[in-house]
Amino acid sequence: MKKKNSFVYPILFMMVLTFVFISLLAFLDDTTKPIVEKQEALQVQKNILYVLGFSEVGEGDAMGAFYDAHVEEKKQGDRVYYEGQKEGEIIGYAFKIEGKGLWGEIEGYLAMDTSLETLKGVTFTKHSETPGLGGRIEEDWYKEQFRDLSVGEGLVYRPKPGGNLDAISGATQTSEMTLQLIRENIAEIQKEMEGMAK
Amino acid sequence: MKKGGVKHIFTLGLWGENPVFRQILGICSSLAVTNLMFNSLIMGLGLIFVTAFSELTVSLLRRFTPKHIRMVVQVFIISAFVIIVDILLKAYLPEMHKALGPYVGLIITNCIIMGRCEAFAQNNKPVASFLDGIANGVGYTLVLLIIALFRELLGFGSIFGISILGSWWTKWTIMVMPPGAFFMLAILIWITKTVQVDKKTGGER
Repeated sequence: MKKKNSFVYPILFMMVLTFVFISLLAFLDDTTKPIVEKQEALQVQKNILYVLGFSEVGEGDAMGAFYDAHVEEKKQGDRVYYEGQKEGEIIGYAFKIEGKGLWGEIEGYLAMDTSLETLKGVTFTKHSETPGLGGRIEEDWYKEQFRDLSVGEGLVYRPKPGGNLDAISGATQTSEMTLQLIRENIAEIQKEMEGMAK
Repeated sequence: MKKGGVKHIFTLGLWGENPVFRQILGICSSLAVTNLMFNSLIMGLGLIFVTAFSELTVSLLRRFTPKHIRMVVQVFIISAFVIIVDILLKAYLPEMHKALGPYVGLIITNCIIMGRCEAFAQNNKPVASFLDGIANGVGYTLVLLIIALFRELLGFGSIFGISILGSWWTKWTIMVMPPGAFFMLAILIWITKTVQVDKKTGGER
């Protein structure tokens, strides 16, 4: 066909094709948006409940209801934090944390008790560490090490003297950087939340 | 076996012209995601979907596509389907989307898809192209699963995340690191080539 090699035809062809596919993608994106947003919100709530140490929180909407009953979002200066309550008592505060990993930004949540001296829990929500190696920071055995850990004596990997945590084998750099990230965030939180500690 | 028939397409995709160990296409991702079987399986399913539908679309449009911009068109079609996979996973299987992370987007860079669009869909009817996409996708997935089986078993002592070998097993960390993938892929290509050469020449090399 001769016209296929003309100047105008390819341009028109691409324009039509682009229009069709972009419409399709835009439609899909738009229809799934509420679902995605809800899933993401639930994910955040799940992480906050996890670091605060709540277990058996249910799934989906049940978890959302549990969250509403037990967690309150508050602000101290510019810092947003999440107050965890159990039977009318404040059990701790959860914070969003972020910092550098080996390959990119690491984001997550950590919770501390009301004295801001003991970690209640840590979780990571976003990272670019190598799957199967540094990526194992999201595994339970690693995260659970930080449960109810007093930060006063410092966070140190075994077998160094005073070690109270295990690093991930094959991912020394990621382990070190993760720990550094947690240390820095705790220091920052303690500074910003000064006067809140009981 | 009828040339161009369903059985023929599948035999070529799975064995005779298997994209990974015969055409050495798409090996970047075969190396990258195969340290866990679960990742390999999802990557494979994503690729089957994208290859099949991209080939179908390319084939449907083949008479209207100007030859000199056909590659742009192919890349465009492929990326659209990859984004569709990404959106659907994010909305309906968020856990899986999280587990796969950047891999979904990487489907786009898989040479198999464009290779098949260019080599097959450009010159064949839509249904045959669709089937060719599935056949090559399955061929790719099987190779990934075979490599991942050994890497996960030796490297983590587990299969699909379920511990098989127990705590006495000394994990071969090298198997889950990049070199392990190169070793396994090379061994696999070696074995399949040997078998295929034997068949073709009746044992003589």
